[in-house]
Amino acid sequence: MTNKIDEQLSILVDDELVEHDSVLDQVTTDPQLQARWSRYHLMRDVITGHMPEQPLGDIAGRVSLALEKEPAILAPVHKRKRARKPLPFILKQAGGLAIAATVSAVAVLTVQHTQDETSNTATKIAAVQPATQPQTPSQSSSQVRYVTDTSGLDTAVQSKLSGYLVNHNEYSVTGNMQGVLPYMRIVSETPGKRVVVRRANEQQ
Amino acid sequence: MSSSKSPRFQNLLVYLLLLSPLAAFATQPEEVQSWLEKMQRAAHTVNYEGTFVYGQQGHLSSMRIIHRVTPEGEEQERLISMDGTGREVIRDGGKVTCFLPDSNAVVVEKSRKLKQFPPEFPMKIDELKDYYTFSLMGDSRVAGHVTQGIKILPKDPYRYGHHLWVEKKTGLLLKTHLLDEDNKQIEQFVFTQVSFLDQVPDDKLAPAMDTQQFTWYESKDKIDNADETEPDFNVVWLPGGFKQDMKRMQKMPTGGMPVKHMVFSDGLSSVSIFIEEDVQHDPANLMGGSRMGAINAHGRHLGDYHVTVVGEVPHVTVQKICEAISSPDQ
Repeated sequence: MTNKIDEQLSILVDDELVEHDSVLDQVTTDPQLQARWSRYHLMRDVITGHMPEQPLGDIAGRVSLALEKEPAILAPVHKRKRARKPLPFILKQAGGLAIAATVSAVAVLTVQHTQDETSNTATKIAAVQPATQPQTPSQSSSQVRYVTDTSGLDTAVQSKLSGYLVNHNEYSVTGNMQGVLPYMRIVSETPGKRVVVRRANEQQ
Repeated sequence: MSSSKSPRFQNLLVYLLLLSPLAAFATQPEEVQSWLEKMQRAAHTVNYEGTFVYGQQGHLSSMRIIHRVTPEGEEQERLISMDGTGREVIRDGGKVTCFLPDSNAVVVEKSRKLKQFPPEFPMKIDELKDYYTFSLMGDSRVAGHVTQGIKILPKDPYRYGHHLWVEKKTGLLLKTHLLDEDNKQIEQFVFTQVSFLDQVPDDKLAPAMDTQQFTWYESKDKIDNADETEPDFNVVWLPGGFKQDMKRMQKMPTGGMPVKHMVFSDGLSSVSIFIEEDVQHDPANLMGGSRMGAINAHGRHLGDYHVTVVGEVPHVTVQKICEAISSPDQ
């Protein structure tokens, strides 16, 4: 049965099958057959040279992709489902970088696209520029704040972005892979910039 | 019927021939994968002491590092800036202490609990080969040690390239170049001296400064629970291979509105999306693009919300992602 449908599928791809309704029915209902169907098409395209703009490497990649999608033969469905786990290691490992990242983030975060000649792409959707008047967020929390006293960015924007950067760095995969990198971003001091650490309720 | 069979059989042969280059490719990625795994393992298991130079955006800084792993697998690390005021960061397992002589401050932060070793290697070359080209370079010396060079180049403009030099015996990463979309180095890191140690005495991991006059700050624990009642935002475009790693709600250390934080990654670089309510269009929110060395950010308003995208990817990537976020009520 399988051989027969395979053969019919193959003929169908080549447009040589006269009575093809039943095969088409099966193809539309059977995902496995659909996969094979597209694979046959890909093979046909490759063989007949109908993919001229694709370099050979990509064809091979597409073929192998198509093969991977063939669940019964090469890649059991359950395996593909759990092929990628969330990156648990990052979550634990990168955790310690917050402080470091904070310090460096505040110290270096001064170049804003909207203020230099590369601004074109950056400002496309940014009709509103950051406020020019620094705004001091009012709050009574006694949590630690990191603020820099020199900046090309509005202080309030910079401070807020630094918080985002810290949080991003904690989950960044680069740190996980290369170990030391996020730390250098910390300790590295940009000349001429001084990081001010103060309590939020000590401001003004 | 039977007459048409033999050409089809030939077709199959051609097809098999086309597949054979795949087999030739196959050995190399495996080799690269095992080097990268070795490198990652070494970063968390090797005892060493060394001096390295770190450069980005035209600035060079020199640092000293001492790294020790306890028999329990806990990592301890001391990083000392060799220039400026001599900042230090000491990490002891889940505790990070930052000594800032320029502000007479010590900042202590707890990090997430470290899980058991060995860590699971997050990067699967098989899943990345559509987006990066992996290749091994010849041996070369870094700080007197023979290294294996690894080149990881992106196939699209949405990510950075990496050149890595990994010490052959231990697997420790001794040198890296991060390359932008124009193949320009945007971040460099290289050991100028490194020694591998059996034992690291305790005093090497103690701060060198007198901290009596320093003010100590301890940061509060973060709220890590995702609030499921928050509306879901759709991210309709991501670079190929990027998948969601993490989603959570949290309060920023600066207080204010709870922020929805999502992380997406292709295994080599990651992008964070931060969304918070912003009915008043708070001027403290970033509008447009900004960069910090290799990290780019982009922000915009989205109805009553503000979206900021941050990641160690080219600016075009954070910008496109930022523009591709739609609110649930749209």
